[in-house]
Amino acid sequence: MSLLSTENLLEVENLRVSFGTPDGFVTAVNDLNFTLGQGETLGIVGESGSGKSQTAFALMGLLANNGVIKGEARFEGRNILSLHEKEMNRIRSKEIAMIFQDPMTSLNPYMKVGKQLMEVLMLHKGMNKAEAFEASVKMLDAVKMPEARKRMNMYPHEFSGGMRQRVMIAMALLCQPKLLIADEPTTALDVTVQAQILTLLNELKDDFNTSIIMITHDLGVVAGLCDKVLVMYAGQTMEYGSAEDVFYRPTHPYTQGLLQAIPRLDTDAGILSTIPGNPPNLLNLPPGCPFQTRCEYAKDRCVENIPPLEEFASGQLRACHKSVDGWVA
Amino acid sequence: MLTFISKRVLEAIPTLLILITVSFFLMHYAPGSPFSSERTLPPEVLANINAKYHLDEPVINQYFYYLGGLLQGDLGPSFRYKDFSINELIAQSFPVSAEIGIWSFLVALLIGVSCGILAALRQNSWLDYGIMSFANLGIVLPNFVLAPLCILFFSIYNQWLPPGGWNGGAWPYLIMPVIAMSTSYIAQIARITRGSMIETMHSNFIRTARAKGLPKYRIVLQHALRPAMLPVVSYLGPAFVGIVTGSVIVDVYFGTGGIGQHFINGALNRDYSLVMGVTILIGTLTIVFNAIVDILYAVIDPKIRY
Amino acid sequence: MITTKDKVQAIEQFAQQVVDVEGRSLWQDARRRFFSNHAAVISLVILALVGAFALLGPFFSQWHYEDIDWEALSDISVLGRPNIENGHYFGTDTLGRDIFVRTMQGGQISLLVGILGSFVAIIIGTLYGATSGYLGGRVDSVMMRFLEILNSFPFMFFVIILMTIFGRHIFLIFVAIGAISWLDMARIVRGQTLSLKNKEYIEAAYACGVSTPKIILRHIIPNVLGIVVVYATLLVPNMILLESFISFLGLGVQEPMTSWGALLSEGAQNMEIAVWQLAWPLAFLVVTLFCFNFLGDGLRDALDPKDR
Repeated sequence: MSLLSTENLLEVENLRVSFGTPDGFVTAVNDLNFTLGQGETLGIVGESGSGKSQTAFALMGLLANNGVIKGEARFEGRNILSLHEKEMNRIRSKEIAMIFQDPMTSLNPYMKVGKQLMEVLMLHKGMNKAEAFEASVKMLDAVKMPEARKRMNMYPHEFSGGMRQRVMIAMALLCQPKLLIADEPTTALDVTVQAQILTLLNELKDDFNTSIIMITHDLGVVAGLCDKVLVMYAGQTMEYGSAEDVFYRPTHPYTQGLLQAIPRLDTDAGILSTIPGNPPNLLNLPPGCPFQTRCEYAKDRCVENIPPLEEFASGQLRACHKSVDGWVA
Repeated sequence: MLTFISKRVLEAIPTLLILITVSFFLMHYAPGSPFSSERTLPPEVLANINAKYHLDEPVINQYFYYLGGLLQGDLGPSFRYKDFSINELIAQSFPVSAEIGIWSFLVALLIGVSCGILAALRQNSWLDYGIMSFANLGIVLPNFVLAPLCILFFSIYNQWLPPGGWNGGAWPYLIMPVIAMSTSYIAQIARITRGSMIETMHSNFIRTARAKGLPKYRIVLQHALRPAMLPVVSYLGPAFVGIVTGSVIVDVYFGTGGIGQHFINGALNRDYSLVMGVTILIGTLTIVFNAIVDILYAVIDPKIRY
Repeated sequence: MITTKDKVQAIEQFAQQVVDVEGRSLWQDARRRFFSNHAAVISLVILALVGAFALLGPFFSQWHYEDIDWEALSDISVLGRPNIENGHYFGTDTLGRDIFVRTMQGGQISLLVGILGSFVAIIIGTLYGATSGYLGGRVDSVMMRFLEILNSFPFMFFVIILMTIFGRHIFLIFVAIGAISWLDMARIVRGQTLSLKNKEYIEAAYACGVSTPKIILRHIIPNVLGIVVVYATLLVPNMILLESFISFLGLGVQEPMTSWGALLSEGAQNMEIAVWQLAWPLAFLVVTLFCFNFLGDGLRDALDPKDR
């Protein structure tokens, strides 16, 4: 199912994440498949609750205790989902690093920023304190942290939100991981700061040749950064293809809806288009296609059976009964 | 930091003054108080008091004389023990109470915190249920219940430990008082630690630490322990007061001769100057300890500015 | 905006409705969670039984709590043993009085002190906390500073002093214990009030000219009731413990009345020869405290479902 000719760093096959809750078993991620090549960037797009964050936590082995994983995720040929905690700890941060959604709470408020950075290097690279300190300062410089040396001795609450996210990014890049998972890295930040962070990630991607999985609900972020896009809805893949194809030739009604919902200044349409309704309750999914209740093209067959994810053009997959140009009987 | 400490100390002074004033006037207007000269006192004591407190002068003057004495560390003479000053009585009994208190405090903190952490890390396991059942039991078995039970078990049914006395603080005499005093605080501290540890382990920054690939023991010790200790530190103040109060029971029960014994005897014998002296001492200790806890809190939590 | 009296009333009613709607779903949810917590429900049943036992039990005994069994008195360690035939189900104390009846009578006092003491603490604490939190600013900081000062007082010692000075009266025990225990309550209620203060319906009531005492009494206090109830259930066992402590020192209720603490004190003195004198009141005290703690935990989890 390889899309691009580069050798794959990560191959995710039939990934399924479920949670046991008092009200029943909830499937947050349903049979997800994707591949990621060296230096490639994949955007996973979807509304909140679509299972994109849980995908990231599953890959890092950070699911809540009641989470159950099925399927495989081969990282350099090794299935990381079946690894023991100890083996996984050797991969975390060293090979696969993660940036979290909320920089305000993701740093330890009781520990100096410098120490939080240094411990990664001392753990994975076996550096001594002095070496780790210098390397951390260097990395803070790389993420354009002003007065990096001085800030090593400060606590997170003395930093602004954007600065904390820079620290998180620096922390994730310390060991120059092969894969970086960024879970909505800009959501909690001001728009101007968002732009700075994205530019930074783009530069770092080029500098370190890191593969990135960018998880976001913001299509603008995807457009600026990603090679490939995977659109998720209610834990299922709706559309998957190259960023160019998905953006310029979206074929799934949900993707089209998402793209139309982006506010634009260059057209004079007065009303902001929205997708009517709310994402479905994962405990109680509608029959057939999960999007059917909100889809303006929904027909009987959409209720009757779930559309399979099929390759309809080279390198472009989607799950929809509607044909690319309209309904065919 | 220094300014924070000095500010905290300065704040303690009015509290202390109020404590002394309330105690003084409460004693003074108490029916049958020796100050009101209604009681028949041994003449030598009366003379002593007259000299000390200037009883023929207005109340307010007496109050300032008492304050003046306090400033020089003089708590006055006992109304009961003719040949002793309060200072001498306290000097004799305080070390006993301090030794029992410090041991109980350390035992409660050490066992309570470790049990709480273990229970939190093995949440909903049999270990967790076991520790928490013990904790619930410990909370409902107060020291005045545990003390007789200890004697019944250790001294009457099995002759393992002496049923009371102090003997200069030899360890067989220390065990039962410490068990009786510390058990309910072990239980409380274990419960608090477990709760805050579980909450901390679910916080985002612990997830970050896990994503770093840190082994679990380092996550717990280096990342989670400090924030999880904050509620325990806040509990130390009340725990201290409880242990001080509990020393009354221990003294009454085990006849250890600590400060609680003097307090109860003083109260029962209406030896007001003794009761007042002990109250002021304990009040001062409490205030000082609360200040220390506040400072400790500020040291642990970097978000609190000094 | 002109606020007429009927407008104010209408708004108040509306605000009340908002509160009701929020309240009902919360309480319904809480009730469901509470009844699925077996430990808490069983505790509630046991507590009801203990309460019924303390109140009604005396009618089922041939002895009165003051009665002295002269026959048993001749040899307590043998004749005073628990015995169904002579009606001393739990045995007798050293004065030949029936422990069964005395345990129940002591239970009445202990439960009464526990509940009334909590009541005093709740009333003072809630009013103080709500006022302090709602008024805010300088008043708040002065009131809180006052709390801090009181908190540094060794209160137990003051209670003992009060007992020695003013004599042993049961009413004094209520007041003394209640007065010590309102401090935490005030702090908790203040915290809740601070977060309530910015809710829309409080602002609406304020904007319509509802007077401050009325806002506090009719809008703030009903909304902090949930947490107050939870705290009260946790307060009752503390009260019982405090009373027992005072009674244990011989400063509590007057003979021939008794309480669990007083019974424990007597029992502990005679435990070498008559262990039942200690065992029965102890069992009742421990079971009651245990159940109150489980009940309080259950209520807290039901009203504030955090993963603890």
